[in-house]
Amino acid sequence: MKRLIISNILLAMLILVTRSDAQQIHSINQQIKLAENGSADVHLIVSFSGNDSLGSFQVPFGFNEVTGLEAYLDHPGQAVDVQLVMDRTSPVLKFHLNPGSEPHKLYVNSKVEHFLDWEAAGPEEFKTYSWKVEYTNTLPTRIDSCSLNVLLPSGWNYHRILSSEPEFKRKDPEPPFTLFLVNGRANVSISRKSMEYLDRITLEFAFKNEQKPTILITVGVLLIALYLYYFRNLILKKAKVETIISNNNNKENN
Amino acid sequence: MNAQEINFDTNLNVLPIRKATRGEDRMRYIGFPLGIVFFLILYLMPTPNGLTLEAQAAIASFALALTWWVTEPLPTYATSLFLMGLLTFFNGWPEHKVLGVFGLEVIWLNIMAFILSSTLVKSQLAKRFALWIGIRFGHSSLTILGAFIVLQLFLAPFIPATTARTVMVLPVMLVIGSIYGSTSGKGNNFGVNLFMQNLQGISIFSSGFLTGSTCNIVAAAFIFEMGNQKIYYSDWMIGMLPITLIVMSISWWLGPKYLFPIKQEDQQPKVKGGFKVMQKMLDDMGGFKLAEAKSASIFIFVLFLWATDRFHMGWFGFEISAVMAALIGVVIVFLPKIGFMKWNDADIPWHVMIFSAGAYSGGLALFDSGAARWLVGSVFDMVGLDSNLNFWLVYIIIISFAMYAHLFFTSKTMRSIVMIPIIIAVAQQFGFDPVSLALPAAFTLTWVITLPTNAKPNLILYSAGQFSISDNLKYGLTVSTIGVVVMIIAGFTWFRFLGITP
Repeated sequence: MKRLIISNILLAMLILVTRSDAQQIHSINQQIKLAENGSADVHLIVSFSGNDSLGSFQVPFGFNEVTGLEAYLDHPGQAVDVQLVMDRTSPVLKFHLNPGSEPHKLYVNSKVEHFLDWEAAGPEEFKTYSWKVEYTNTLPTRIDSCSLNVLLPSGWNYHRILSSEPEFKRKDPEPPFTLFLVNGRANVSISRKSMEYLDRITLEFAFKNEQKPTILITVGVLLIALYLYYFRNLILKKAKVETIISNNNNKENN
Repeated sequence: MNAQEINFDTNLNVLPIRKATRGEDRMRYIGFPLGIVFFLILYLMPTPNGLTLEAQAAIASFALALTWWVTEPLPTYATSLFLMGLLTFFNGWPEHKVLGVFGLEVIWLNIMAFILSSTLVKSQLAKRFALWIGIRFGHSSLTILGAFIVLQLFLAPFIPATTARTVMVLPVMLVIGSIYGSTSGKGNNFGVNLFMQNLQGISIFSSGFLTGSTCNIVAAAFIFEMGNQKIYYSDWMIGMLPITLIVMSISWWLGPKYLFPIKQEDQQPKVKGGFKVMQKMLDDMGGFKLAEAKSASIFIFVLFLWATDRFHMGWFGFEISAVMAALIGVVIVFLPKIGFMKWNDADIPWHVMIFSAGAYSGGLALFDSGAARWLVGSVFDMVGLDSNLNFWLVYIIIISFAMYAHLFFTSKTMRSIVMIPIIIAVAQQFGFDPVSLALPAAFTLTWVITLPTNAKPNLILYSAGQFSISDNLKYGLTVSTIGVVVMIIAGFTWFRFLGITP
């Protein structure tokens, strides 16, 4: 029995080593474009190199159900056969290709119909919504670098990044995430180097509609007008006093 | 003024009533609408690239508060409360964090420090020391002002806690101010010079020593970690101490002569009978009293704990923080029989605590929301720092920015965390030695001398009611600008001689 367990472990290790040797993922860049209806376009750019005998290639994927799944090798004209399969309990993208040992790029497009559950996300105080996005390396293959981009629907913006992995510690010179606009839409990008088996990249964020109450302008103008009227003595009083002094001086001079 | 009229009581908890000048009234009149306009523009404009909505709300709220603190259409404490409300209602920082600021170490340290300071007054130790220093150096206003600057210079390397230094000297300053006819709410230019020069001395001399402030140590750590160059205590001191001496000498001369000229009649003590009366008052106090001895012992004990903080871990197995050291002293002060104070003797300016809490919540909101980091990066982008620029132009831009950045970022340590890595990155990107830009910039981190909100000592000194925010702005900006000029000249000469700049 003991020998059987040991031989099983060795076999499992051999499989893991063989699989991780067969493919090498240099980088994965995942972009999630959120739509107002809660769906999201998920795009992946995978930079990898395999070997001549590689018949299929797997990439960890974060979603169980997608529509419109399509993939290209290096450029849009070169379509690749891709399937969403379950590796144990985790979804992975399985590409059928034989690219040789040269480095290549895979472009994957898909759509997740129920990405964001608006009801579960909020609204919380001040009409903010919060959501968490994560990507886990569920395969033994090491990913040299990985980035995750989340693009909000037009008219929405990030209120705050609540948490992230890699974590942003208070004394870090820079956060692991950056915020920037992509065609006028709010985007957050997080990246990490060297993702081993079960390493994660996560972003938990609060977001809200960018529209701000324009009534503030009316309130502001009203406040300013009231202040300027009721506190006009601040500029008038002293002037009067100075006039009186000046008049007195004039009288003395006369 | 009769000898009996000298104010030996600090009375900081009572807000002084100052009659505003015409200029101050005009500032007040303009300041209110200006603050609202700034807020509306910054809050309602489209969110800039790289900024969160929270950070935008924090920047807008802070801009309003900064305008109102400077122009004072509302009392400063009311503006602070208003800022805390703005941050909460416009979602610039969560309510629990805004309210939590009052529990921060900085507020507790202020409260403990004020109680300790009260012991010096209650025991009359401050009176004794003030009379002695007045008799010894008080023959002219310039010599007494100089004596305080020298005192701050000697305290700086021994007591890194700037609050501690302030609290030690404040009661003495109040009495000396009173002797020269400058009291809370009825100040004269002697009082303005005395308080402003001490405010500057406390901050500027902290930059002369690596251990002068935590932000210096943080900056040196970044230069070591990111720039791979170790900054030793002696490197720092030899580099910066001469600069601090030059600038403080200029300030000592410039203030009473040109910025806030002291009238002829205010240049001598205003006590009838002059020094003879002061000597008589000192003699009348008799020998050292028990309360004075207790007060001195407790104060020395707390100072000892403050000054030896780096050894605590070895001695006790844990570190006694500045606030806990002060707390121990305060507990002893209130102990029956051993202590000599009751709660009513403690002079705590709660209006300053509220003011501080607002200022810190604004500053922390800027930092926590990422607004501070974004502002620093945007300024560097805006001035067009790129690799084609000459080293000296980059040096001037960075020194100027580092010097004036304290106007917007209340915490020195946070400024160190935000700015120094960016400056090192800029240096590396342009192919300059990181030390050549980061170290001179780090030298300016403690120069927080322009507004009462810039640092704890400023708030404490402001609470004495001897100077206005516009006085602080005028003197602080002038000395900061002198500091920039001296640092630029030093870059071409002294720093180059030392090998800091190329």
